[in-house]
Amino acid sequence: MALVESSWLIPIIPLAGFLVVGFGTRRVPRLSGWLAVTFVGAALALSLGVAIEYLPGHTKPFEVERDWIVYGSATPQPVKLSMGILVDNLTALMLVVVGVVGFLVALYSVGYMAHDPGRPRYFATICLFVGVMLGLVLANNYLLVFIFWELVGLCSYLLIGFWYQKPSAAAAAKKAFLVTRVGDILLLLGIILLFHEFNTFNFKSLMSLHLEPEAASRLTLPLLLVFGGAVGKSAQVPLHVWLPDAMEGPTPVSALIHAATMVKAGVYLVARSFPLFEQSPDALLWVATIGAVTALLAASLGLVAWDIKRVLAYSTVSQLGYMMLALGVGAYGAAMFHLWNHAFFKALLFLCAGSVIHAVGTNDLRLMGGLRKLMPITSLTMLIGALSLSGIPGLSGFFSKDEILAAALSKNPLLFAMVLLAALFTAFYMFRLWYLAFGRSYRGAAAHPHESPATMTLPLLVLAILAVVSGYWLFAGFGGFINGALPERLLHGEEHVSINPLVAGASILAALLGILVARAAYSTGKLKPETFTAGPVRAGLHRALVGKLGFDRAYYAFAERGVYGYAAGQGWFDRRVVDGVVNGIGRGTVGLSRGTDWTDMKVIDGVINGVARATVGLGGRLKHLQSGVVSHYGVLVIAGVALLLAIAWAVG
Amino acid sequence: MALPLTDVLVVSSLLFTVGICGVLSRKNALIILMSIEVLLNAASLNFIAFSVYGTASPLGQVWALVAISLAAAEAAIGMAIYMVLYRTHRSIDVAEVNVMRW
Amino acid sequence: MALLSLLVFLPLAGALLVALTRSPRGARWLAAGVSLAVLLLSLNLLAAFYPVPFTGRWNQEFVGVERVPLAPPLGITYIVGADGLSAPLVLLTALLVFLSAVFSWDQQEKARQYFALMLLMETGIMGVFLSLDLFVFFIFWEVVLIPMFFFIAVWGGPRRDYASMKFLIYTHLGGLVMFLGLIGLYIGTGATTFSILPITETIQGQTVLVDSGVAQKAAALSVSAQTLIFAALLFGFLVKLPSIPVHTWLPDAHVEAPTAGSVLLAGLLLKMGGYGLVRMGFGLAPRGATGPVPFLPGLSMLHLMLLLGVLSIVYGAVICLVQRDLKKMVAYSSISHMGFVTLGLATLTTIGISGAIFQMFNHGLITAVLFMMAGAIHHHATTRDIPTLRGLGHVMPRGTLVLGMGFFAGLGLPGLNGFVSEFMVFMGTYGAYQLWLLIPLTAVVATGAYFLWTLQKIAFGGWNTELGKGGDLAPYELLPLVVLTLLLLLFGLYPRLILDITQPVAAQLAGAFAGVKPL
Repeated sequence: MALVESSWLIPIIPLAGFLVVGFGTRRVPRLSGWLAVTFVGAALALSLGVAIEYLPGHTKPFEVERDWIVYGSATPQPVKLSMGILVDNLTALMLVVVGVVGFLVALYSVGYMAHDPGRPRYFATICLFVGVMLGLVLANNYLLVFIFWELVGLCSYLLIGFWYQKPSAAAAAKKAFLVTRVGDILLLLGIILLFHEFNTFNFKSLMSLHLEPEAASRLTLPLLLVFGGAVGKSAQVPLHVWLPDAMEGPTPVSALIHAATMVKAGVYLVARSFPLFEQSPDALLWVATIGAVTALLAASLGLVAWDIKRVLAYSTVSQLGYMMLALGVGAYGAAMFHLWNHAFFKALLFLCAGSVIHAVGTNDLRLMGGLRKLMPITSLTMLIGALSLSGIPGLSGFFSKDEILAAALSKNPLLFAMVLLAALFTAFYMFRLWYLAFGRSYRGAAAHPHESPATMTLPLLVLAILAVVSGYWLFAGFGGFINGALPERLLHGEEHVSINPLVAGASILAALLGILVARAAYSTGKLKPETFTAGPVRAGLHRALVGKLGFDRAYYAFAERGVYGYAAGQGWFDRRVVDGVVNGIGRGTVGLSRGTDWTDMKVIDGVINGVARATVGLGGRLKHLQSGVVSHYGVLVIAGVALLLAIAWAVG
Repeated sequence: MALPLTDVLVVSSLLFTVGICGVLSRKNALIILMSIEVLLNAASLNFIAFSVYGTASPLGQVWALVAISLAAAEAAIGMAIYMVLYRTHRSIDVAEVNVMRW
Repeated sequence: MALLSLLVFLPLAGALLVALTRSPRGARWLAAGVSLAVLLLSLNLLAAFYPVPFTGRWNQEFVGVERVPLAPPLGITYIVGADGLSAPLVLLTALLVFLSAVFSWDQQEKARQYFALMLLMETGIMGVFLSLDLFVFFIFWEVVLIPMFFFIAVWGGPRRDYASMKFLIYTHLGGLVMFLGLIGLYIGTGATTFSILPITETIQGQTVLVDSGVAQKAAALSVSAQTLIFAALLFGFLVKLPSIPVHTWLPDAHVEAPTAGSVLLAGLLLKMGGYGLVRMGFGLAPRGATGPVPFLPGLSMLHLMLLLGVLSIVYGAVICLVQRDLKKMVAYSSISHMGFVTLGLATLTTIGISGAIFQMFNHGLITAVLFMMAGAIHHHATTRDIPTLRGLGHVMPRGTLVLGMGFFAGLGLPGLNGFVSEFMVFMGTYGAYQLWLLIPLTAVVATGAYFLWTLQKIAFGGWNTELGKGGDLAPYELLPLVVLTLLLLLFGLYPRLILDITQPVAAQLAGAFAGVKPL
């Protein structure tokens, strides 16, 4: 029996962990962390086992499913909505990413959260998240993906708002959920459209479709809607605003959910649907454009942030833009490769940032500095991550970014230019961060910043190693492996690895330039940072960037004045107008009944009472006949008899 | 038999009239009771007269005897009522005993 | 075995016994015992529909039919029967009454009357869901009003006089117009019986058809007659549902009603509207559903339902954003959620109707959680004012967990039951009306917004110390809430438990309308 046949257990294990940790460790919070690590570790082990079976490449996809909803008329054929799992090469890749990062983050959290009283809740939610995220990548149809899609959003909400006493955390959690929900309803609409077009949600049936060009044009709208879901989840422009705020959550959460896994769900979904997207050039163009714009815009926003985690958050958004761009220009393998590499180096960067925050107690880069001596492991691993992200040759980020740049250039020079500029920005903000945190001398207030415990540094070291070596899979057949998930018609013979020297040169140059400028400005002091804001143009640009280009403000205005104002107006309408009419009718009826009442009392009752009163009066007079003296009655009787006799006589 | 029926009837009518007048005009209850006796006697006289002159059947005389015994019973009950009346009202004047009036 | 009659009249007997008890203690034990017995009986009824393997041979028959002629000259028969439409609602009724009885464990004020009325209401609701005679149906329909009126008027809040009168007048008016429709059916079909099902008699061992029943005869009525009847029924049921613009009795009634009253009102009474719409409206005047709206000849009844459904969903969701009273917010959310029922029925697709019926069931569970939580919060934190409440997560962690589950079920989170039915209605809506779907979809975001916003305001942050010490749920509050939240999960993960029962009804109804275009 192949291990893959038990792959349905993979999400079940962490979900069981959720129950055990959530309901079993209230009394013993110490245990919660290690229990969570155990459960996630078990899931990771199984995931790795499954992935290894798929490593050789063209292994047959594995699918099982059960009916979930059955409806329609029994004849000829009822409609069945199923729930099931599908394991192919893409799934295997995602399983490893989620499993590895999830496990390392859980381990890291044992140290990071050691003193938090809410640990059981934290680790339970982590387990829940890992479970549903694994479920998401295993799902065999759009409906199930949507279900898990929402559930990872729920976990994200719960973890961003983990420190719920903090108003900003609570607000950020809500914002994240709502902004992604805008994307979610687009996705929902998209898959409903797809269903009505093809009568199935199943990936395998949908992806094996090969439509005529006219028929394919009907795909564009559903696909754009599906992409809308991805835009929300993967924080692409214009729905990127939630991710930087999401940094209110504990740092390991940022690493796991908001860098390595959940935000990749959008990219994963587009990749999963790639055989459909590939048939709709319009949809692909949108994907590429949004990706490139996001990559550049987020990178530029990262230039001015002072919060160490926000810089990384913008970086994540920007890198997700790269992946989208890659998918948009048809470089499926490159996108997945970047996703794979990025998961490790970005998780590494976040965990390093967490280590720093753990030590100095603040997120503000201005209150750090000089940590290179104090935190040698963190500083070294973070440097590796930064170099990898910046795209320095030899580290993983270089290989995948280079592939993406090459693919962009082959499709559209403008897109290429945008992401090349983004690469320059990336290198700059990463080293700005690194120098501000680790260079020069300490500027903060914490008494004795010191290196983090082993449970935290161990994951850093493992991730650092992964951030270096993950890129070399490119030369060990990554392309062939990942293309195994695509239908036959999209495979163009043997993949060969080539590095375009022109693109590579440009990319390396951009990275080096960025690093050098950052070094000059924030380390050696050869360049005053103030020169960036000198002059009206530069100052204006800077202001715009600090103001996040107005996205937040516009959304806030829309929500506050538009939606809330409308709601308040409608509330007034309901109370005054709708209920006013109702109460008016009520009052009118009461008035009418008052009138009726008056008529009743004065007119109708008047007649009745008049008759009664007359009768009473008459009776009052007549009563005197009743004297009570028998003789009187006798007289009357006699008189009456006499009268009757007289009448009888008279009548004859 | 020189006494014609008409004379007997006239006597009877006179007796009846006397009785009626007594019942209606007197206030003493005892006198009223006596007047009633006179009325009954007038009736009995009629019964006997018609029995002798008219039908020649003894039935009328039987009824006269019944009426006399009834009158005795009635007198007894009447006296009992007057006794109670006197106890409660200290009087047997029918004009004063007017509790049944409006 | 007279299972259905037991379901209807056991609560009545219980109500009489409860009224005879001496102490609140005896009253609540007796009420809980009786309602638990009814719950077990209703599970027994549900079992009659299982197993339903998907073989294409669904249980389309009425189960447990009983007939007792009541007034033969008028054609009034006591006739009960359960099918896939009523069975889940019967279960819901039995469940919610039992849980409400448990939740009201600390009821001291006039406890005997309280529990007796609760059981009396159960009789009425069961009667509505089970009786298949138009006249008896109407009697049960009106019987339900009385206990609810007293619930609000006796145990209600400060504005109870206004609210109880408003409730009574509104629903009574709706009931009367509905009765007009029923009378119209009776007279229109020849006036020999009120029974929906055929009436048969056994004469000398042979079964003889006495009357083919209203359902069969009604189908022969002219379109214009059916349209009028449908319009009258629709009005009556929309008031009960309630739909915009005849909804304003609901928030007032809820704000004033005691917790158990709110649970039964939103959980069960509203369902009578949806149930009636399917059983009476679509069932007895099918061609009226596609007929033109009186005075608005360009608009068909179905389109009217679509408009009102969509409007209710959006209107209810948006107005929740500005509510200060937690209960009022939940009340408006009910209007929004019940809009899905109208919308689902208006699609006339199998999945849409099935979703609408399931939505009724789900909303019953969700709203019970929410109203119970509102009651518990009022009890422990002394207020339901959203701006005043803060940091409930601190002082009532269990309560907050339950509240969160309820909220997330309400906003349609997959894995909880609300999602399934909303999704099905969406599927149906797209199938029938294409991009009209966009409007209710935007309401999904608004729904998320008001639930999460409220959660943020009342559960997060630090505890507002002006509200005293607060406290977590008492055991008698926790038990019903835990049961309900587990059910939210159960039906969210495995909806076939209900859907396979409702499916034949939906398929039959949709099949009857196959190929019929509204106008």
